[in-house]
Amino acid sequence: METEEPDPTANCHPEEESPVLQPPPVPVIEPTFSGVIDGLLKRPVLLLARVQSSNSAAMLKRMLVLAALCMGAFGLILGWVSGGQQFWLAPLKIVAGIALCGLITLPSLYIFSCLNGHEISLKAVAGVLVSSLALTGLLLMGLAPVLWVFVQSSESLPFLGFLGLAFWSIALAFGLSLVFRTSAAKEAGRSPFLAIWVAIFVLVALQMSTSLRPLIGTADTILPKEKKFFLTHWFDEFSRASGKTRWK
Amino acid sequence: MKGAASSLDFWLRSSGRESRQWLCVVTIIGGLGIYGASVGLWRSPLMAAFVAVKMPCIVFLTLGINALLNGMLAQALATGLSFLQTFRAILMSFAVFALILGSLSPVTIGMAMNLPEAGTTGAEQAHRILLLSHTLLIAFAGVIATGKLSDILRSFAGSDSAARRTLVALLAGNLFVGAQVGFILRPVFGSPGLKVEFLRPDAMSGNFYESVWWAVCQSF
Repeated sequence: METEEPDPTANCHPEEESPVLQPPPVPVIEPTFSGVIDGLLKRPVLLLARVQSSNSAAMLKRMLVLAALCMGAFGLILGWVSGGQQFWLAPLKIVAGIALCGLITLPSLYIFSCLNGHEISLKAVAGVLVSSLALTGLLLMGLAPVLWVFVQSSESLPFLGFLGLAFWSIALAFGLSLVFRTSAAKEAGRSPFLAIWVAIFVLVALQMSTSLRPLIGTADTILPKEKKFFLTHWFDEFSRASGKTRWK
Repeated sequence: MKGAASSLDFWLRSSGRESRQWLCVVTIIGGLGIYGASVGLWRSPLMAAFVAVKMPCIVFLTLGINALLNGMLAQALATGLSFLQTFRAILMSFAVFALILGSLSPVTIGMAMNLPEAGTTGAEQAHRILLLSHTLLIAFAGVIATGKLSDILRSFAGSDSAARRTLVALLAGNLFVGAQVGFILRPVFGSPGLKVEFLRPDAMSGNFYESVWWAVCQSF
């Protein structure tokens, strides 16, 4: 990924005749994969303005592909814990689960954005959500090598589950910050509505991870037979792990 | 040698030979190699050779595993650093770290040669003294190197808050992974009761944080 590297000698000779000051060129975000990655990481406000414009289809498509690929790669590392069919099931479940989360929470994001005082269309809100998920995916991709090191050296499912959750939280914090940046860009007053939406999204995603279990470890069936609240599931798993000799 | 932030900043913006990245690599191998040898020397000359190889490995493996994440965090936290520049900035701070420890290695070699040897009376106490001394020296070098990294980030980002956020994020990531890499590459200090070996047979079994948790549970 290319960056604009500042010229180190730019300010070294102030006595030299300087050219007429020109306004700095406005950076353009190209609808390519490298342009999207660059925009997500370095110019999120500009990117958000672009995805809310009318000709954003190509950029949104690439961001969706990017999010799916990155989250799939993170899922592959989680699937590595158990191997076998989890190699393809875990990436599939993570990508499908996040996509479902996005679809389920998109209407509430639109309504809450309107309540927050935004003049924004549903398509533009979808663009913001896709951007958030793409940035979350990118960060997860960056965290995947770290997770891999721990997957190779630990067999403790509670530990790896906790680590996966911690990494997911870090990536999500960066990703969902884009939703608030849209708010700032629109110069809307601070409102609890977007914070409430973020809490809803997190709850839905956590419950989704329980409804699509196991993401790590193995089970007799691809999807669980028993319905559980995510906190109950975590408590049960931790209690079961505590009973093993390793934790005594 | 001075680790002046202005020079480091210029190297960071340069490309090719001017970037001095290979000089940093050689400094890390040399500085941490000599210091590593001094760490293992107390246990045996073979252990000194092992730790001389492992210390630079811990740094390079940590840098490699975190390279993608560090680059993303530096950009997402608005420092203006590219992936390569972030990698170089951390490499430079590790080079400063290696220079400090390398310069202290004559002292630590002297300590290793003057304390009771492993297997003799007082070996346990000598091991504890060495462990404490090396921990303090590494912490001291780490604080200085972190300060240099902070200076580089501040001069590059142009904003104290962006530089501070990035520094915390990079440090947290590197410490988190570095602890695990060090755990996998143990023994480093070489307990007197355990045999000298390059890697433990159970190197890839368990992790640093589980061990800490297990130790805490055993204590109460």
